[in-house]
This record gives sequence, C-alpha cells and structure tokens, in this order.
Amino acid sequence: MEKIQPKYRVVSSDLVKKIKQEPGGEFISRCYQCGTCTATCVVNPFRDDFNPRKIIRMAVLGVDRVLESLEPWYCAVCYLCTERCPRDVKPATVLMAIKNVAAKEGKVPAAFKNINENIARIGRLFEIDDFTNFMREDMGLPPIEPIDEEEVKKLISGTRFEKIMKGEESEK
Amino acid sequence: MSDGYLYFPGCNIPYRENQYELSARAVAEKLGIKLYDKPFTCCGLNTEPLDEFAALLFSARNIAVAEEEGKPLVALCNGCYKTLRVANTKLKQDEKLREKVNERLRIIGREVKGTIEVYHLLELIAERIKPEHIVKKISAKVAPFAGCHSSRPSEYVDFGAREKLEKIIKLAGGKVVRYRDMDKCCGAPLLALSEELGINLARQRLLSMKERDAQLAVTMCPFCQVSLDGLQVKAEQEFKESYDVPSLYITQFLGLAMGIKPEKLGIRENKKDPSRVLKQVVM
Ligand code: SF4
Ligand code: SF4
Repeated sequence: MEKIQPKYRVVSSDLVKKIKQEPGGEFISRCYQCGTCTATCVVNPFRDDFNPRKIIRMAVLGVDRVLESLEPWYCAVCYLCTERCPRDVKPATVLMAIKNVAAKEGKVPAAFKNINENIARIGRLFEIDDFTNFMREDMGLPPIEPIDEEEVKKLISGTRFEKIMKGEESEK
Repeated sequence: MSDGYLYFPGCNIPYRENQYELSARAVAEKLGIKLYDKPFTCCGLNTEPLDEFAALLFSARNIAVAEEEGKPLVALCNGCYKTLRVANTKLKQDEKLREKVNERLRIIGREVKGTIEVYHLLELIAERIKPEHIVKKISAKVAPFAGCHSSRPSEYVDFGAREKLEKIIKLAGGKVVRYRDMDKCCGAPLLALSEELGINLARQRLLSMKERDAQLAVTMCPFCQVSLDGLQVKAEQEFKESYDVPSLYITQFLGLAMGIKPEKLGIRENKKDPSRVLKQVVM
C-alpha cells in the first residue's frame, strides 16, 4: 500500500508563536476551521488560492510556506470575515500579523515595498510637487506643505520598518 | 468643541481626488464646520502590512499634532479614518502601548496624551444638515456606497455610515437604492497587487447597482470613488458592458442639493461624466 505523504513539510514549529507575538495575531489558535471567513471573503470567488481558512490552518500547523506565499498579501483587508468569525479570531488582522512576520524575514512583495518607498522618505505615499499645488491653488485649495524629512527619518529610525526598507531584514 | 477641526487630507485626495476636498470644504463652510490645516504624514495604513508598530507611529505622530492644536481630527478618506481612529482608541486605552509609542515620539519632540477624537466628515455633516439647507431636489435613484473602513472593524468604527448616506440622499429628494453586496469591498485595495482583481470587484458592485436601476452612486472615500468612477470607465471598455451609474462624492451630491455651483464641487474632475443624468434629475 502506498504511503501517504504529507503535502507540506512542517519546518517551523514556532510559526504560531511568531504570529501571536505580532499585534492582531493573538487569537489565531481559537480558529476551529468552520470556513465562515472564506465563505464571506470577497477575494476568494475570484482567486481560489486565496483562502483565509486554509492560510490560518497552514500557519497553525507551522507550514513555513505560508510566509513565502503571496496569498496573505491578496487580502483586501475589508474586515468582513472579522465581523462574522464565530470564534472572534479576527482573521483579517491574523493575516496582517502573518504579513508582518513575513516582512520581518525579508519577504515583502515588490508592490508593497514600492508603496512604502516615499512614505519612508517623505512621510507620504505621493510627492506633492509644485504642479499639484498649482492645480490646487487654481481650484481654490490651500497648498499641501511638505513634511520635514528629518522628522520622518527620526520617527522610523531603529524600527523594523526602516530595516525592511533598507533591505536589512532577512531570515534570522 | 465648536472651535473647529483639523482636516486630515491623507495621501490620495491631494494627489488625485482634489474634487472631494473641494466639495467637502464648500459643504462644511455652509454648515458652519470650520476646518484648519497642518502638514500631516500618511495615516499609517500603507505601512501596516510591513510593520504594524511603525504604522502606529505614523498615526500617533498625526494624533500628537492634533493634540498640540487642541482640535479633533476629521478625515474624508475611510482608510485614514479607520487607521487614525483605531490608533487613537488603542493609544487611549492601552497605557503601556502609549508609553512605548511616546518613547519614540519624544525623539521628534511630540507626545500623545489621549485628548482628542477622530471623526469622518460625514458624521459631522449628518449631524448638522437640516431640510432648510436643501434648495434643489435631486430626484434620482441613488445607490449609497459606504465602503469598508467607515463601518469595519465595528469594534472601533461604527457610526452608521450607510444610514447617514441614506439620510442625506432622502433629504436631497433622492430615492435610496438597496442592492446586492452593498456593504462589500470596492476592489481598490487590490489594485496594488492585481488590477484585474480590483476591476472584477468594482464590476460586481456596478452590476448589482445597475440591476436595481440606480442612476447615481454616492461614495465617501477616495478609494471607493476611484473604483466606482475611474474603474467604471475601464471596466466598461474591458468587459464591453455599460453600467451607466456615474458616481459622486456625497459632498458633491449634497453640495448640488444645497445650491452650490458644480464648478465649486469639482464635478468636472469625475471620470464617468455625470452631467447627462444630473441634467435630468436636479431641479
Ligand atoms: S471564520 Fe474564524 S473560526 Fe471559522 S475558519 Fe475562519 S478564522 Fe477560523
Ligand atoms: S479581510 Fe481579507 S480575508 Fe477577510 S473577507 Fe476581506 S479580503 Fe477576505
């Protein structure tokens, strides 16, 4: 008789511990796999692989692949699942905690890193240049003043975020 | 606190949705809501997936600025509203967290004490609007779109956003349209990773509005508006369909009903031109 092979290797027995240490990841162990989150999810109908119940299950089992995978990043963070979860797992924030753990280990999808380039430098997602302010003035709106870049630098200095953006965070 | 509010612009509105701010300021002025300006950073939302704590530092920095001014914060964007409100509540409730955050804020000479509130402008408008403010009737079937972060997570944000939109629609003479999945995500948060996914979600909302013969949609968030307005034009081309539900910011819609000129509401800036339907329904 053929031996049943586990599909995933369990590599990180402390994955759940890491997730619970992140804000929002605290309640992951409450999950009893009812699937309400996936049934509610707006993304799942368009992307089978994005399945919050399954992502949480894999994380609880310590399947490290969860951290490598793009799937947690497909969450729209709409909180519908969080409203409906009967065990108050807060799946949307559990996924956020999983993303934080992945980011800590240097696994951030390029799109999410790009979004944060300006934020880490000038404190905002978009640079408001003279042209934009000129258009605003034309409409009768006050100019958007820049943020002191030194202040932004000091604010994030020494944070995990700063290290991630500098590419210094990698697997420990 | 009749002393006015600090307007929190966020990242998206000043960059590409200035008509929201323009119409919001026009309506606020007429209702006696005084708005002040200060330079603010991103609310923190965009940094959450990478580092929740750093995201909280951005929120806290902005809250500290508002406290220095002694004024509550008012946001137009659901994303900013939720992020600042969650941060403000946590910082007020959790002394240990506040101290941890303040340790870093002191480096930039700031501190959060827990003395201000965070509002969405819609709350303030809905409180003040009266029948006598309405000088024009907008007799259209209108689909309210409150979005996610105005109403969820309800543990932190729960001011009845959709009901407030509906109240304004009715007051302006419109008929509220209820439609399938009306409380679900607009799709905009997915655009960073997959434009296709974003458009598919926006299309779902538009189809269900159309199913109920909505003539207009109203939004209260730049993300939702980008989806229902900008992506509507794209989806119509891509799917070779016609939804024909132009979307207005609630402040543009209400502004028209209050007799404010369309130029002062930036209606021209909307991607899906609403002028044809507005000609028929604004009286
Ligand atoms: S709804 Fe809650 S308990 Fe049910 S599978 Fe999802 S996270 Fe687990
Ligand atoms: S928060 Fe994420 S997982 Fe939950 S329903 Fe929304 S998209 Fe799905």
